[in-house]
Amino acid sequence: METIEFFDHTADIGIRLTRPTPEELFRDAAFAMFDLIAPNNKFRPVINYTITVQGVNLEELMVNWLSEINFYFQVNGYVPVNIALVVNSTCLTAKIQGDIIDRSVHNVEIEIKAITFHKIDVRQADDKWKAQVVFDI
Amino acid sequence: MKHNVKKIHDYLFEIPQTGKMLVPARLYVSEKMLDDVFSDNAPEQAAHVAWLPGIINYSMAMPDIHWGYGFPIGGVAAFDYETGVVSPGGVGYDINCGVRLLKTDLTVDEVMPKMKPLVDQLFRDIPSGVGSTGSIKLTHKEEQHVLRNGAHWAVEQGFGIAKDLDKIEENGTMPGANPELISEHALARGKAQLGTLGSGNHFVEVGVVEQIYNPTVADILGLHKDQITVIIHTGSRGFGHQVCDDAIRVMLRASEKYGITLPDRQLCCAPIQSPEGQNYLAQMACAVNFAFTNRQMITHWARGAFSKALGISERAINMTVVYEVAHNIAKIEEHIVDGQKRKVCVHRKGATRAFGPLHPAIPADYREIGQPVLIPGDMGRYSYVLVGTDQAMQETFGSTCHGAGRVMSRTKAKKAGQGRDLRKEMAKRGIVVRASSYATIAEEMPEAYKDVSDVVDIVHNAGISKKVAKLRPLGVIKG
Repeated sequence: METIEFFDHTADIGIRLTRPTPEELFRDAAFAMFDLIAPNNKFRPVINYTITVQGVNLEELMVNWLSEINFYFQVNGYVPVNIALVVNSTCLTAKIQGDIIDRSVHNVEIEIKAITFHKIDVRQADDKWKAQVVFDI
Repeated sequence: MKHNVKKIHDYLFEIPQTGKMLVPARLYVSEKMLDDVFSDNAPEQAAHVAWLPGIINYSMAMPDIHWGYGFPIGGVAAFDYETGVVSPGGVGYDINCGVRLLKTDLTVDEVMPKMKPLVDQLFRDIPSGVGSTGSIKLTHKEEQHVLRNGAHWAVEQGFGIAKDLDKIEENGTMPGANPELISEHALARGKAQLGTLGSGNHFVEVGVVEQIYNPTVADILGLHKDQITVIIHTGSRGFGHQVCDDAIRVMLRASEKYGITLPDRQLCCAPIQSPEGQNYLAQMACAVNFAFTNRQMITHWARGAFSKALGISERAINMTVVYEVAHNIAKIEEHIVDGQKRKVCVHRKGATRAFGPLHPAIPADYREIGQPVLIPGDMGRYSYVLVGTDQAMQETFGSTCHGAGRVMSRTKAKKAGQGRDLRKEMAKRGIVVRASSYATIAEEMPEAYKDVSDVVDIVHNAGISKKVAKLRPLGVIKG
């Protein structure tokens, strides 16, 4: 079963999600993060990026992946629309199609300062993949 | 954990040293606050800080304590300079987030009729909001200057005057900054965001001195009843966030390398004397300088906005810096421990330096009264000016609280704000609010925070800082 949940952490916010594959887990963690940053918008898949990140384990890989696409948003206003991923336990390559945010048109609600290691949990449990991530906003 | 807590006095409680704690943890809270404080994991986080090598006396938390990452917000911990550690989590993501207080020659009666255009002008002139980018686009060379020289760079470029620097911690430039150690990611985030307020709880607030508790000290600070003031609360923006983010990855490896047992990965750290520790301090100093520069530039624009909106010259308004404090920082300081002078690294994460009278780091004008301490509250109630004390030097490595502290999550606050017109509610209280989104106003509504008066009363009664004046907000711009 696929689940996704946003949870509060005093001043901040986290996500918990369950997906059938690691690719879907990492992809949908990214989309969930952008649902927090810029919800209820229509973006077009007009600009392509390929991003490769590494981590010593799945948890660091998740933090590094989300940090990298948050960096693209912070610096270029880039929002992913389609993400195709290849993931192994220490490396992730993402081919992303996305759009540049236009503040006169698009809604932007929060700024994520950082993706934290606080309560981070990324693992395979039975036949599912689970992740929990807390964002510093 | 609460059942083990020992009362030291009415405003100080101790979590005894157990397990891998190297020292006890001490919380500056009232009995009334205890249930609230123990309702989340912040006290456990204060206990976890006590695991870290080289910690001296206690892991401490101020009354605005709440759950953070690794260290609690409101946490203070000092580590021996030779044998202790430095932890980016003990500083936080928003390195040198801080508060600047400006005073003016204006009175409330002069400004109130023009409060709305004034707030509108401030909102136009000071870039704010999520991912806000500034009107200044730095070249690589200019950014290197900012990171090395802090607010001095801003003054050289015409943002403010040299006299402003006299009343800033470190005089606006933290030594030891090394831009060569900064990642390309951090430089890229910094380039676009210098001179911006940002989002969340950052603000510029026009206020009025409502009450003076200590007329002699207030007089030395140049504060008097009905005077118009301005508070700037912001930090090092995306630059500092990235510096912290980069450092955490390095420190996770360093903690393993140096055999440091961590109860929480966000407490990752390295010996101060290690290459990793020294590099972090040099990187952190760059972010500290970025934040000093940021507040200096916003000061300059606030002066201009006042002049434009009120039709009065900047000279007549005479907006001058009372003081500026950093409340997310690690500093190398000397303190007396067990009768001996010791060099220590004091981490203040959501805590303010509060040096007592005669400390050489205090500007000469204020040296006899102690260091000014600036405690902003929520946008609907009050902010406070206090001064540091000798008792703070003896008990808390010269530290005190930093603000009100959240009691309501952002989601809860947003829900509580639905179906209401918070702008109108604030207007009824006599406060004009401008923000880039209604969501920000809801997240920052007064009910989302503890009453800052309760927090300030505890540090005052505990003797680690003393009340001087209370300021009431009249107009606020939020990111």
